[in-house]
Amino acid sequence: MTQNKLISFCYLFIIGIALAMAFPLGSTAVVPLWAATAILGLLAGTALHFVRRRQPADARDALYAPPPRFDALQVGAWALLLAAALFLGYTRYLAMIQPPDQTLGRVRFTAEGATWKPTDQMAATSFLKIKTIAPVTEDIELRLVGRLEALRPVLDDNGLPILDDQGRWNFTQTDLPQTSDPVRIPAGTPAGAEVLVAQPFTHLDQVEPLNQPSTGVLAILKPVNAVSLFARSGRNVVPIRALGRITADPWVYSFKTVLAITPDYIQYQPDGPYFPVERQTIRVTINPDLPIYDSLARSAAYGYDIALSGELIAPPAAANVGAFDQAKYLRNYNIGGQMLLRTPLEGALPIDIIIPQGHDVPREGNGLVEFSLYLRDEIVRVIKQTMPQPNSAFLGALTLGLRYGMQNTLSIASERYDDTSVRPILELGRDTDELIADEFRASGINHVLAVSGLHVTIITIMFMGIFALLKVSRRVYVPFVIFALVIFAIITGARPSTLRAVIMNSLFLLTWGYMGQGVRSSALLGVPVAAFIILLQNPAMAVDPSFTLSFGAILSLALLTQPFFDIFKKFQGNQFIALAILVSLLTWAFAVHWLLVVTVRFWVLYGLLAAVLFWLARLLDRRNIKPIGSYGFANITPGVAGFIAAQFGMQIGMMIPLSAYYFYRWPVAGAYANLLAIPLVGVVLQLSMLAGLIGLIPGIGIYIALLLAAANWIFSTLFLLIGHYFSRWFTYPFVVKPTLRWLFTYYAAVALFIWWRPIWFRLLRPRWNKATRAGRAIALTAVALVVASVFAAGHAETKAIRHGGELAISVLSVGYGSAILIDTPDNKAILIDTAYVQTDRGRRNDAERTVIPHVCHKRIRKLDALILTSPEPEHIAGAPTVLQHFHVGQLGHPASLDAKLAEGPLAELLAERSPRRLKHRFSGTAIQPRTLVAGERLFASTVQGKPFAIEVLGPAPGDTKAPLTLRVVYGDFAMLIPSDLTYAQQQQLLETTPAEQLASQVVIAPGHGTPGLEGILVGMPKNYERSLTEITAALLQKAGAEAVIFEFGNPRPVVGDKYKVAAKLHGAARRIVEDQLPDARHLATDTDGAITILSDGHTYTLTAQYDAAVGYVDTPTSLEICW
Amino acid sequence: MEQGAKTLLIILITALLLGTLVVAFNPAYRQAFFALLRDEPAKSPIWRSNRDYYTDITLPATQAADKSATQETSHDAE
Repeated sequence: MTQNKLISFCYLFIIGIALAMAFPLGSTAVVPLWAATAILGLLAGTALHFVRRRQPADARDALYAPPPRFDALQVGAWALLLAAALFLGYTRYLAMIQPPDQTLGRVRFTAEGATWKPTDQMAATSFLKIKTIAPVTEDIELRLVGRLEALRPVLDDNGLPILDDQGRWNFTQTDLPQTSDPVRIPAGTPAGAEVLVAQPFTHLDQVEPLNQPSTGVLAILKPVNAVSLFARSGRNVVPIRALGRITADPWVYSFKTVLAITPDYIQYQPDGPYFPVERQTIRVTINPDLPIYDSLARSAAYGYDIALSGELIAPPAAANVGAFDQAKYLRNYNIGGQMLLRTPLEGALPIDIIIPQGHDVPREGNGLVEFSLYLRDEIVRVIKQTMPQPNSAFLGALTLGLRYGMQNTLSIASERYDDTSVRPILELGRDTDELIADEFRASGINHVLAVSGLHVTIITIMFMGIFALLKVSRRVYVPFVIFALVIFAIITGARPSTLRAVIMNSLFLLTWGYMGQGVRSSALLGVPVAAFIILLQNPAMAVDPSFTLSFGAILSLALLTQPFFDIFKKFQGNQFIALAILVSLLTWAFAVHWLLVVTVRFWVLYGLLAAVLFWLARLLDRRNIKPIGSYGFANITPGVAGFIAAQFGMQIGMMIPLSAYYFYRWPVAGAYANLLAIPLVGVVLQLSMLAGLIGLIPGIGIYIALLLAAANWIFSTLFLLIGHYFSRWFTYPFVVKPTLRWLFTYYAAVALFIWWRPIWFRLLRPRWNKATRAGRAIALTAVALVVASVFAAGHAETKAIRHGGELAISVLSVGYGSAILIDTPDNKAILIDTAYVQTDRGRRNDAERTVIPHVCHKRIRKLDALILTSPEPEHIAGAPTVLQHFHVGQLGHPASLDAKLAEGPLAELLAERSPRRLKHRFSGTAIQPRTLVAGERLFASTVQGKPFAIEVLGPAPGDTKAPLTLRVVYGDFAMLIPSDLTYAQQQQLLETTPAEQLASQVVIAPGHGTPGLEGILVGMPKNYERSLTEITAALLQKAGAEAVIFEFGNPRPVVGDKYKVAAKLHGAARRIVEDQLPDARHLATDTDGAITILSDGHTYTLTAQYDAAVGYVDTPTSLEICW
Repeated sequence: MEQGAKTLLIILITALLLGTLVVAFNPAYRQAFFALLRDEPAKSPIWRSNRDYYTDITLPATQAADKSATQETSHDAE
């Protein structure tokens, strides 16, 4: 019973976190909430104490009389404890996301004057905030008076800060009187507004009013000195200096290293004071050209004291709606800012390792962590001696969590391995430049690289097996196995999935070893307890994929395996054959034609076929024709049958909903690949661990390790081949992202499926049998209403995303490239251009990374048209990816693109999707390209009395060089998309098109704001300013542009060596356009993120993504806004 | 638990036998074995195939050689 309450306590704590995420209060609520939590906890503790004291008497009574049915005190005590858990979860999350400001005092203005009432003292140097407690009715002017204890580090002969032998930074302190600039709070400022004071203080003595308002109350607050407070956004920001320590194992890639540095002090302004830092870390990236790179790009660097200087950048929010939000992600990992350290051509290094006084070497970190990292490096050394590439990179990631080491490791099928010192076991004869990581992702076996329950369980079993072989008692070896698991967790980076598994397995070992409990009860207790421990330390992890996927997997295994097994075992004889045929057919469809699977017609036919097959099976049963007798799922070996049921449960419980939610994708191959991969990974992992550990034994160890690794070379190659072939056989489809409401409904249905027996037999059926006819009718109506409201809510959600009668245009932020999604007023989806694909080291496919997720986020399942405007790669490189993943109604392009459509991957894909192929004609996925010329009007319609069309303004018929120029018109609103028009083509458009045909409120700047770049070989042309003024700006003026959008980003991947010229040209274009169109709004996708334009046909609104995402940025970063 | 221990033992023995076959018949593994036997692990083709993988993790002998090379360089500078 106590166990159940402990489980309830943990789950209520998690619910508290969820409530804080959904309905967060302000930071001022944190202190009262902590007080409420403490009071509830105290009351619950007291009540439980009384309950416990009463228990012996109750127990004695129980021998002679039935126990009381309802013990109010006991129920009350547990209710209080559970309420405390709820409050604890809520408050813990709120305190982490919005650390409360310290209130230093209040200043009250009355007719008699101002009164300053201090309530708290500052403990360290900090900036201050002034907050309005009541609405301001009269202007208030004041200034703060106090002192600043300015800290400056003491430097040694080399100009480096001195760290004493106790690890304390040495400072000189200068006490200075400090007076802030006058602060003015105008009348009309609402309650709760905050003003930041630019000057730092260490002591606040007085608040001096500078005018005589008759009323008003202000609070003076000290914000928490978190790293995010000092981070600035944008480029070329003022560098900071920081003194701190490397507090995590460095992530060593082949081309860079990422350090996690926890700063003790930050100097925010050059020559300014140093601020003590209270929370968050900095993610610092260093490159191999740094002179001390080798000293930092190694495990031994963990624990080093560091002095560094550079630009501390606030992590950017998502540049596109529905895209990855780095700011949120890093905040979940307690990272407040990022630094990229570049090696200067001359002068001091941006980072130095500081050796404490009296020491010869830098300080080390935590002893246990140091030992774990040392052990890991030794195992890597064994792997490097016994396992060739690429298998070694795979085993490093699998066994030790070294995923960064296989970041750029090519597929085992790559021909590049043919020239290495160890030739592959098999020469596959099909060259590929895919990465192993991408193949694993596409084949759904990537989870083996996330060190999780699978690994920890295998290692637990391995150690238990070793001790059992040595005939050691479980009571003796359990602590050793737990210690080994802790070391393993540290070695692999202590990610949430690993911690979850280690905590759960440790609980299992303890309850199994000392209390004799079984696996199931341990799992049911272990899941919530592990979640509670992890979330207590970092509640933001609750929405992190590594946390939810890990817990989703274990809960799916524990709860869904048996129900699916019970269903599958019912299939026997002919029914089993029918099921096998249906599964085979579905597998074929998944592998061969995913776009067919997502059509309604496929599922209608599939359902009909299923009905026919099962009818046939029953018919044959009746006639006693049973080719396989009564053989069925129940006859399969229990282990294998259970494994299949578990895999099915994992797909339903975790992979399908959560993969779609987090990644917009479902690795359909995973359902099949894992049937082979999971049993194999058990062997590979155990052999790898054994080889690594045995290899550490001096002398004979490395030889045994070589023998084990030689065998494992074969097994690991098999594993890599599973990843390779399944990623080729199956597609890795995109799916529409489910909303939170949809997920909730889905999991409610899954819960009903799991517990339908107790719900029906214990809860519903007895009541149903007793109910009157009217009662039953009411119950059925209520159920129908609930179902209808769920569907209605889903429909409303979709409508909220895609408004009917409104034109929505998204100009996506895809670097130096173009991708524009048009959602027409009659809900047709048209994509114009598909962005660039970088195939070298960066490997960035913006179609896959940005464009398709955005389309999926908008719940668009089919593109009515894909229009490619230019043959340049930054417009069309992503087209094969888009066409591969979507039904596309039309493919429009200019004549200049004809050559591109006849060669390369685009030509292959068009040939494959030719209308001549029956399967594409049947599924409606055939593509027929169409050349567009001036004068055409696409998707012309009238919505609510307002005409909509996409007008083609160019090229003229017969022109085989010009890109498309499009004008999107809806009622009174128009937007001009001139694509990559050269100066000459712009001039022609300017001269030949009447102003009314060009008229557009919003215009996309031609050529990404770098017109004329195509004609430049070296340096800036002499006449570029004239061309920009007389042609580009004149075109924009003629169109009457009220807003100009520059689709710009890092041009280097696209234009190569001309990137500096492109950047200069873009700067000049923006300057000239701003001068020539001073009243227009100027936006760029690199600095403003994606731009969303909404129009009802009369007016329009234009929103920049970064403006919309302000709420996601940590509030303290607004410090810089004040300056 | 006895079952788990037995499985582990079977995996271990099978792997050792299979590994022996691989070392005997695969030239790269054979060379790696002899390189270890001659105490020249740096000449092993397996080690060489991993030269770009975690370059900070070197062979103990190489580390010593690197250290002495660094010392020589610093002496030269002086």
